[in-house]
Amino acid sequence: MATPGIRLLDEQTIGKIAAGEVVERPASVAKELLENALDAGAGRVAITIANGGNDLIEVADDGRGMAETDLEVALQRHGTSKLRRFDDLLTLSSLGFRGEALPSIAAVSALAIRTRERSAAVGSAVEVTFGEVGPVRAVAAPVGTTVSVRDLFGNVPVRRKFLRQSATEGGYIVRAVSAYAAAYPGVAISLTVDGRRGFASDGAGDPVAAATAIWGPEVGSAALPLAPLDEAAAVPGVSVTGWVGAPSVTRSHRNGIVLFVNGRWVQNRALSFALEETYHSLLMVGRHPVAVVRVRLDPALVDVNVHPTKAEVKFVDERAACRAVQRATHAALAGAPRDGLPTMRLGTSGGDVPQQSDLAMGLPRPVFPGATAGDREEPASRGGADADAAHPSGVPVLRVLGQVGGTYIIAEGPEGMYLIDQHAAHERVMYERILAQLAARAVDRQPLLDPLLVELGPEELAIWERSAAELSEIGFEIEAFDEGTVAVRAIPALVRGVNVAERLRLILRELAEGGAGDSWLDSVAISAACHTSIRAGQVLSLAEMRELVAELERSRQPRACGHGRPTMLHLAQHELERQFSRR
Amino acid sequence: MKVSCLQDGLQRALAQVSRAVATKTALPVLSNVLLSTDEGRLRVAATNLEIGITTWVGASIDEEGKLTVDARLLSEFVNTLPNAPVQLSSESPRTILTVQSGRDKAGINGIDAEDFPVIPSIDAEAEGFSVEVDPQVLREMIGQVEFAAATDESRPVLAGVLARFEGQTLTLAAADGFRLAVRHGELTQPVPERLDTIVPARAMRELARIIGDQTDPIRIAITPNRSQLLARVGETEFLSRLIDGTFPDFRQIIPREFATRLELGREAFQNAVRRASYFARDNNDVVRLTVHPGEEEFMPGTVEVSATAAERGNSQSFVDASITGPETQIAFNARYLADVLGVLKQGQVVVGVNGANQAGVVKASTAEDYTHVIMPMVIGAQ
Repeated sequence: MATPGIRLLDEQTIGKIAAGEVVERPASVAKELLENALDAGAGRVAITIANGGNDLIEVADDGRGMAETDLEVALQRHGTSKLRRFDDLLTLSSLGFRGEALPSIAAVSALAIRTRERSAAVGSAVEVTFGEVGPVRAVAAPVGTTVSVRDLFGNVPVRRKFLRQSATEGGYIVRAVSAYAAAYPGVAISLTVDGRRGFASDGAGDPVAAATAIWGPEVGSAALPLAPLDEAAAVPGVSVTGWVGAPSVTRSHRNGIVLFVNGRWVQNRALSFALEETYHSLLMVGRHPVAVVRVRLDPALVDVNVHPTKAEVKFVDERAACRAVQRATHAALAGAPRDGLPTMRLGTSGGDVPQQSDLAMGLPRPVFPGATAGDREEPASRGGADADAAHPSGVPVLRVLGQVGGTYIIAEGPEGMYLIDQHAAHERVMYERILAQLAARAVDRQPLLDPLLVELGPEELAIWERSAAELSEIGFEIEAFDEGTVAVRAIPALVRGVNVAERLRLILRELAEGGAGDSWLDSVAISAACHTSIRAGQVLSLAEMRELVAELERSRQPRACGHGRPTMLHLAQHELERQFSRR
Repeated sequence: MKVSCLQDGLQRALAQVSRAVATKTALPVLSNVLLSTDEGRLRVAATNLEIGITTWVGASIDEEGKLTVDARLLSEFVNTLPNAPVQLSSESPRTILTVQSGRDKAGINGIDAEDFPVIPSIDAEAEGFSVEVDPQVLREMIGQVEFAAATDESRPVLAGVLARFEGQTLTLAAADGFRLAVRHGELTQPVPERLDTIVPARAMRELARIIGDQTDPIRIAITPNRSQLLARVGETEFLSRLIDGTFPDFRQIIPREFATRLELGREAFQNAVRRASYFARDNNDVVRLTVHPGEEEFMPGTVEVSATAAERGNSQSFVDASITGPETQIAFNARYLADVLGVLKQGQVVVGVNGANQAGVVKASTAEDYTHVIMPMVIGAQ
């Protein structure tokens, strides 16, 4: 019996196999075509999809277009205008370069291209059906290129089978197109899904306006533009632009973080981790920020040829890139406008009883089309710039009215009613005081008349041993006393009127669960701040509440406690008016 | 029940017991006051289970009986009546108290007296421990120690004031872990055996209030099971539960000798501390005392009282003092200093210190019966 000999694969099979790498799903087609359009210098790109991209993906741009001869080459594998020799890869500034996209797509779909160069009188068109290239015809066409892809994977039933429902696939396309539209605010990108307008950016170049157009006013009003850093803070060779969302707008997943490196949409764990770390203590556990961050650095310092879809990149100096992202984010968050407070929206009147889920965070202020980024940051209040300067922290001057349930302080501000969680607020104040004392290396301690003996369980004892140095740094003087017992000799002078033994155990128990800070010292500080502050259910006098609110106003990050829980909710004046049917 | 008494006597009695009326309670009867006929007088009593206050009003009794009614409502109504006889009546088993004065009349819905907790009386406990004390001495003693008791529950015994009866001496002591106040006073007659009790600081404050200007000796009794303290102050009986436990041995905490001893005018020192405390507010209430002895022996020196708040500013005050011992510096919590200087009566006070990390002592220069110990604060390097 003859064994099959080794033979070269035929062109079509090669095409289908290669296509599998570049063209995973309809979204990759949309992304490749969109990148081509951007590389062609388009000022306007219209994307149209139908049935999750399975039936149609069409990308029409007004870019350079292609000459008739170019069109033929473009459809051959590794036919590209973007790369001449391998060394060019090192200095690559275009998005595509492998010359794989078009032929790969053409191998698994019915592809049609219609293109015209600005200088040419007539355009050219060509159809490719599952790798069979048809003749190039002269046609009438607008300047630019329109590529339409139909019946994707029609000849690869296995791949079809692995695709998800068209809604899911359509969602991936929307995500990819949104990311590019957000990162290229200078290009007017529109998306039409099944005949309905998805979104359209204006191409005016303002990243915040683009975000508003793409994701709506909630995200748009929370977008804090990343300003260029001053020389001292800037990381040489790396520039970071775009915007990061205020902590009031969060997602339960990381898809809201859009990263571009040298104009290319990438997934990079290190960068997104660096970004999230900057939000540390501002967001609740399990919540993630939204952001569109564009990192630009010398092409020689980043390797984009890691993966055919170019979704991954390798940095020569990853830490420099992370550092640049963190510094830019930090600067933007520090200058966050004060209306970034979580805002509550009550359930519609006459509807169900308002429940937790009805309290939507971040009720958007109306955003007027054409508003510039500068206008947006101006708080919509009578306070103006002076009021802002006096309260850089982001909390307006509040007048305390009372307390609800021994837990929440009700206060009135210029823009409505505020509910302040007294524990979270005091925890934030304590945390910042501990940090300030640590930073000044001036931790005051109040020794005890006679040592307080505290019995600890084995687990508490182990975590105490691990944390003894950090506890001592923030002002707790604790010594081992006996089997299972420690002697507290001094406590931080900040800590007042609490049951020290009980609170120490709580601190240790929380630390045993892992700690919430950047470092162990930070974790210890967060836990100590939490468990030595005013608790929920503690009835406060008006004077005490005023003092607490005043201290919160003075803190640097007043909107969340050390653990990232919000300290306050805002019920806007217009929301009150709406609820009482005054509007 | 059918009773007649004078409005002003009833008003005083209701005010006296009002401090023992529970304000927030799950047991409605505790926000009531118990009215009962008692051997030709009207007995008025209230309790919140922590403390109880009973007092008697002269009355003419036509029909025996007892009933509880809302303390606040009765008190408010009676307060507005003219100073004239007031008739209180109820028809058992109905629990409505009729209050009548001339043409003014009220019917107040009450709760059966059987639901009211039994408040022990001092005579019923005659076989227990009992002692007589000068009321004004006791009141001053309470005022000088109760503020040093702990306000948290770390150690329940520290939320109370130790009352130690021994020989002819009553000692009150309170400590909150950072400071200790001890005051000795004389009993009018010696006790046969030493007895330690711990009275909640809040109850001590109430007792001092009830004593008021009273000058007749007051009798203090402890129930045989040592769970309650009773005090008879004139026509009023005060009852408090006691805290179970052993008070720390405070004598070993009090330093006996000092490396540096200062004697200075109380008022000048108090003013200097007050001025510094405004600046200390934002810096953990830290007030520094820098002791500059005189250039030569027996020459007067100065104490510099200073405070610094990084963001607010700073203050220095200088107080003349006669100083023995070397130059030294020590930091205290401004509130602790202010508290003790506020309860010392004498014109000159003594401050004894043994270095920046050892307990300091504040007391009057002429009296040995009061000692106040304060732990200094340890200041982080600036």
